[in-house]
Amino acid sequence: MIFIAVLIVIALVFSPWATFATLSSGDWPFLFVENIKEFSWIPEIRYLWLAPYYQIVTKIVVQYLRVPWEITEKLFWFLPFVLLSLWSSYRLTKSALGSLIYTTNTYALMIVGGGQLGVAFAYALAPLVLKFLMETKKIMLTGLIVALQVSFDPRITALTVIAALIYYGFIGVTLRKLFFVGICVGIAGIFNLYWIVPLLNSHAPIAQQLGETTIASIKFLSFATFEQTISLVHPNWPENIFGKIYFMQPEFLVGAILAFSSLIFKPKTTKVLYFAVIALIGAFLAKGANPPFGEVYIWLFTYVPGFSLFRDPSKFYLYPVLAFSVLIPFAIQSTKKIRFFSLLFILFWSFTIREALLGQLSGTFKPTTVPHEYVRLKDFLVSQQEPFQTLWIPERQRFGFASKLHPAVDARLLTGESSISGILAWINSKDAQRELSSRNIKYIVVGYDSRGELFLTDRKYDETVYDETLDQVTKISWLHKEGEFGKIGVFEVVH
Amino acid sequence: MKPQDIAFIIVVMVLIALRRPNYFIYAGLSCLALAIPLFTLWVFFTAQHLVWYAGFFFLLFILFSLRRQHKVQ
Repeated sequence: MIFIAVLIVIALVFSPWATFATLSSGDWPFLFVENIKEFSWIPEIRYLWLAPYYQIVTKIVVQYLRVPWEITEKLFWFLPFVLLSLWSSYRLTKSALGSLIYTTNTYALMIVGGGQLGVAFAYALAPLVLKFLMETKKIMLTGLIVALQVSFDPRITALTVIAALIYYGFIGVTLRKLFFVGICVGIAGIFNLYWIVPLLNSHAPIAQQLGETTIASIKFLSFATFEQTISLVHPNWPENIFGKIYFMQPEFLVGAILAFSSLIFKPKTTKVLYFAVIALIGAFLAKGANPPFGEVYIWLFTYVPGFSLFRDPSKFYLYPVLAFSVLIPFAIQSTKKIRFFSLLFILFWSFTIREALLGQLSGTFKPTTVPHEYVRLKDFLVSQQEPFQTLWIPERQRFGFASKLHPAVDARLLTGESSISGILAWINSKDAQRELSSRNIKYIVVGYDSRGELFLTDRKYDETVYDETLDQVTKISWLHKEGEFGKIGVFEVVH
Repeated sequence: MKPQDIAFIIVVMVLIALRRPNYFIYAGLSCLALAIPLFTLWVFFTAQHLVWYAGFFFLLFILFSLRRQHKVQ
């Protein structure tokens, strides 16, 4: 009964993914077959740790088995995330409620909704990795699972390993346990040399990003407050608009009350205390530089080597999520009416994530078809054999085609202007035409913003911004409007 | 220091003097429960502080429990 109720909630939450349309949104890309054909058989550093799974599996499935990308993304990413998360959390919590909490909490939904599937896979594996590390048996198998998790996101692995070390602190640290972890991390390192070695030898974007992270950026990225982190509500829930923070939704505090009420019940096992500590540590760190004692996070960032990997403090949500998945079922199972309280909890949980159940989430939960004008533009560009670049105003739209022969340049990057008006002023300047010619830019493209991500006013899509941009570019004398691409404005630069 | 903080410090001191760790959990849970209506009524400052206090109460409970476990061992 409880198991079925949990499955129904999960099916409803993830039902928007049961579609043939693409889920491309946020960080999740859309790939034309022509893009996939350019993938190398050797892991490319630009895809970092994700290379083998993202690049090589995609190449085999889409290019050789001819499975469309729209199907591949679901079969190899979105569906496996749900199954893996359910199974892995069930292995740790031994509870259907635990799996429900772990798979459908606001943090998990915001990760997958934002298209961060690498983080999501590592997150899905975390309970399994933690369970194996806590047991300290089957060293090879544990090492391989840790290696797999690293290949999806090493930051989540670092958090999982630290969580295991804290557990050893609870039950007593021994050399054997430390040796066990050391060997597992070593195995993971060996299997992940494909990205570690090139990363150490190159100036990859991630290395630059880490070098550029400042205390100011840590403060900026500290979106969550303590009341949000301790009650497991993501600060961007439910719209998932970057930087848009919501008032505290107090109903989520009931979850925290349930979780910490587990401390009342007997027996107070070491595991319950451990997960309560993990919940507090995670809630404290996930709020980043926000009060109380936000200086601690800044101190850790400044003085602890490697802590700069966590410039986005929300990664620490992993800890309260893991803890609540164990503590809430424990509290319910400690009552006399387990079935009644379980069903009551499922109702409560469904209420807190009602936006997901009602299909009101955005991002990958809003599937879309690729606008036909983008397919036409892709064919138009592919048909030209000479090398050139395209300049996208303000940035390349997610369905805009780019290849090694015809790379896309974002106007924001080229001009150094963040606003669209600044970009247009740059293009209207007298040196712009010469600059574009010198960079071999053949076309300027004003994208059709079908996902509402580019032409924004107060973080919302604004059609007038798009219209004005298109209008101003059309007036430039040295640009010649090219072909018919519907709402996409394609202009050839007259050299 | 606000009146809420002073009240919190007094409660903590009383609970420490009583040496009953379970009281820390009850205090923490009460703080969380009290914060819910305050958040609903947009009394953010006090509600926010109550959640901080709750976290601190839970931490104190865990520290007391661990100390007791350690002594038993």
